[in-house]
This record gives sequence, structure tokens and C-alpha cells, in this order.
Amino acid sequence: MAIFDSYESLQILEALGETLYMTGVSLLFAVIIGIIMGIILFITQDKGLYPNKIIHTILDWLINILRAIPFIILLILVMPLAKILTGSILGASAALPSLILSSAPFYARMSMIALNEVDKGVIEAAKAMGANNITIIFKFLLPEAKSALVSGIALMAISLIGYTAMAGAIGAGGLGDLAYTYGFTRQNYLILYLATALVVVIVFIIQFIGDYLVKRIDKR
Amino acid sequence: MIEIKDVSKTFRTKEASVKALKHCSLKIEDGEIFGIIGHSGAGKSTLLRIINQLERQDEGEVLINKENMANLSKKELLEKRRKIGMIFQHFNLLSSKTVYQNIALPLKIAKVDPKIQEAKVKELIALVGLNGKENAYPAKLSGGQKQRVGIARALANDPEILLCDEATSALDPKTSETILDLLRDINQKLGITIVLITHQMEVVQKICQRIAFMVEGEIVETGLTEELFAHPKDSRTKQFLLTSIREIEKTSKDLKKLYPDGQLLRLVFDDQNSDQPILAKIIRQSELPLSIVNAHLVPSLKGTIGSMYVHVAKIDDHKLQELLSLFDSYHVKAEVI
Repeated sequence: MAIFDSYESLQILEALGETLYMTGVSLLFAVIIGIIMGIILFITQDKGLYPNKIIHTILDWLINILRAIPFIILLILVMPLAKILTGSILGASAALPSLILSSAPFYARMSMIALNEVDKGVIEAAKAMGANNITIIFKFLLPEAKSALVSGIALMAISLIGYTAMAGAIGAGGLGDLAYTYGFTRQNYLILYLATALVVVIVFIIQFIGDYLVKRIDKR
Repeated sequence: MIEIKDVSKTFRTKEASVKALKHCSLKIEDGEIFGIIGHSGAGKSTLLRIINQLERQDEGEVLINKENMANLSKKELLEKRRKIGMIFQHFNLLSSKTVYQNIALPLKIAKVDPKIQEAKVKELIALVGLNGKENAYPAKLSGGQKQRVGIARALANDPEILLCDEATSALDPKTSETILDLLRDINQKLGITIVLITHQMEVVQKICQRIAFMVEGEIVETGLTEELFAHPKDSRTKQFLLTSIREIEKTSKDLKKLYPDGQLLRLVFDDQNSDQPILAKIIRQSELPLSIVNAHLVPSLKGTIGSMYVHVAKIDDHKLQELLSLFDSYHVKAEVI
């Protein structure tokens, strides 16, 4: 990177690392929390394995509310929580709670849709085999929904990258922050373009990996 | 022995309630192939699912080997279901698992020793004739092969009963035959009681020793297959038989001999169109001299239903197409035989 001095190069690498860190960690938590919420939504729905209108409605509302709040506003609303959890409102870790809180409901909805798309006949066959509900979920539903669940992860990872850029604007670091503070406000357009290009490359890589995995998993 | 005693079941939705089963009673002996036949919506599916309690009856009892299914605990019921195999119209295989894994699933659920599992799956694959397909995914299989996987899966835990839910309805006639042959083989080799439901007359004629005929949630007639076909007692059974494929084939063949020239058409009248003077209208509009050469018509609640054969002595292709679309416009099913 001869066109950048060593300080700038370090800044770029650091920003790249922060973006990957924020995306990776929030993705991990969002998938775990989201899939649990998705399974609960799926089994508590009408005619589900454990129908429960109250739990279903509460969870459904919670997800809708969280998804309705624009991310930039959620960032600000979650600041006190971030401070309690991470001790700061600045830095990549401080952005994690809001990133997770915004993407977990997204993944919950996607995993519920994925589970609902599994052929109802498969559930019936499972019951006829004498499978209990836990077995039905883990041995029948999740394997059958796997490809949709994985493509959901790719989709969410990409939208998370966009969110990390936004989080950067309020001091979380990462490529978004770099593009904004170094690139835009200091008119260092080379940095602005490079940061943008890096984001695009990351998105492409994630999409590529996601498509590849889905293709391998999907046996339909 | 399966005993169904005075079973009733009503499905309730917000808008309406449907009586799916009305006081149904049946006795199915060990080792027999028993058919339940009727039009779609007659309640066959519900009755079949009452046997393994996928559906719970509102009234009445189901006894398997004298054991009342209602008295079983949840856990006991799950264990009991392992001894009742089931196959489905649309196979219901797991698309994410191979043939081998699909067949091994019931064994895994029953927590069978992995070594025994392997031997059992291999044995089943050989039994249903799927050697070499162990690692194929269902998407790569034909309909007949998928049903073979379904059968192998249903037999995994050595069931005493095999329930077949329209098992051949999604298959072409030739494949259907081979699946039925396989079911009969299994019944003879393993002595499994088979209960099958179908709307296809050929299926019960081919493999069932005894049948029950269902109409609108009621079992209207039960008996030995040949007897019930030859001498149906109930008028609704008679009507159903009139539309049977075998009957159609025979009539068509006889008529073709009688009328070697011109065209023969088979018309099917159902509830929607039977109260109108359709034939008169069509003769007037087409100006063709149609003559009725055979008819099986039965009065129903809404009019007259059944089939009719008409003959036209001289007709060219163009006129024939016009005539067929004319029947179509009156919602009468017409086919050239």
C-alpha cells in the first residue's frame, strides 16, 4: 500500500478488523438467539407442536417492535444498555448489543418462515413413527429447513455489515467510521473509496460462501 | 386385531363443523389386507389416522390386540406407534437425507443399537428392491422408488400393522401395480396386517381380501371384495361401482363392437349439471344426431348423476372438436372412446 502512509494503512486494517469483529460476533449471537425465538414462534403457533397463543403473541409483538425501530434510533436507545454491558458507549464492542438486538428478531422471523416451509407431511410421518416433539424439531424440522436457515444467515450477515457502517457513524469504529471520519470529513477520497470497496468485497465474499453452502446442503 | 367401535369425529372451525366420522365400526383381522374405499372427503383418511391416533376420536373406542388406545399414556402411545407403520400418498420422505438415512430414522428414534440398525437397513433396502440407491437423495428417485423408501421406512421397527394412505394415488398405473405387488409380498412374507385407503377401485380389487365402503363419514358396507363388487347391497355402493374403471373398460369394449363406425363418446354427469336438459340443448346447437347407446344414471339429492355413452354415425374431426368443447361449456366431461 504505497499510496497510503504506514499510519493510514494501519487505520484501514484496524477498521477492517473492527468491521469483521462486529459482524462476526453479532452474527453469532443473533443466529443463536434468533433461531431459538424462531423455533418458539413456530411451535407455539396455532396448530403447532405446543400451541400457546399468549407466548406466541408476546414474542410476535416483541419481534415486530424491534424490527420496526430504525437501526440508527435503536443505536441511541440501546446506549445505556451498552454502557452497563461493556462499560462504554464507544468502540466496536459497545455497538454489539444494538446490532444483536436489531438482527436477532430478523433471524427469528426468517427461521420461522424456514420451518413453516417444511412439508407438513414430514411432521406427520415423524409422529406416525412415534417421534416426540423434541425429536421432531431436531431430527426432522431443523435438518429439512437447513438450507433456508443457512441462506438466511448469509442474508443477515450482509445486512449486518450495513448496520456496522451505521454504528461506525456514532463511534463504533470499523470501515463505516473510517469512510465517514477519515474519508468524508477530511476529504481523503482515496480512503472513502477504499473503505467502500472493502465493504463491497466483504459482501460479495459472504454471498459467495452462502450460495456455495446452500447449494451443497440443498438436496431438493 | 384392530377393532374400531362406534367411532365418531367432528372437525370444528370458526365457520363450520364437519362430521368426518359418524359411528364407524370395523374389525380388521390379523394378517389380512383390508381396504377402505370411497370418494375423497368421505372420511377415509381420518378413519385411518384414528387407528394410530394421529387423530383422536370424539366418541367410541379403538382397540389394537384388545388394548384400548385411549388408555395409553403419551409415552406408551409413541412406543405403540413404532409398531404401526404408515406410508403416504406423497411419501413424506426427508429431502435432506439419503435413502439409507431415511430408512434408519425410525430405528434411531427407537434407539436401536447402531450395529443392528445397519443390518436392518440393509435388509430393508434389499426387501424393497433398492440396492445401490442407499446414498441417493429422494429428489433423484422416481415416484415408485420414493414409495419403496417409504415402505422400507415404515417397516423398520418390525410393525404388526401397516397403514397405507392413498399409497399409489400419486403414481402411474404401471408403477402402482409394482407397489401393490410389493405390499402383497410383504403381507405374505412378514404376515403384517395392511390397512389401506384409496379412491381407486383397481387397488382394492387387486390386493384387498375385504373392503369397507365409506360415504360421507359412514361405513355403508363391509364385506369380501368379490362379493361386495358382485352384489353390492347399498345403493351408494352400487353407484360408486358404476363409475368403476373396470366397468368403463368393459362397456367401452362392448360398445365398440356394436358400433364399429362413427364415434363413441362417454359423458360424465355430476351434481353441478345434472338438473338441466343438457343433451337436448347440445343436440339442437350442434345439429348432430346423437343417439344414446348406454347409460348408468342414478338419482341423487341434487339431480341425476352418472355416465352416458352416445354415438354419432358420421362426424369429421373439426365437428368432433366443436362437439367436445360444447360439452365442456356445459361442464359435462366428455371423452372419445
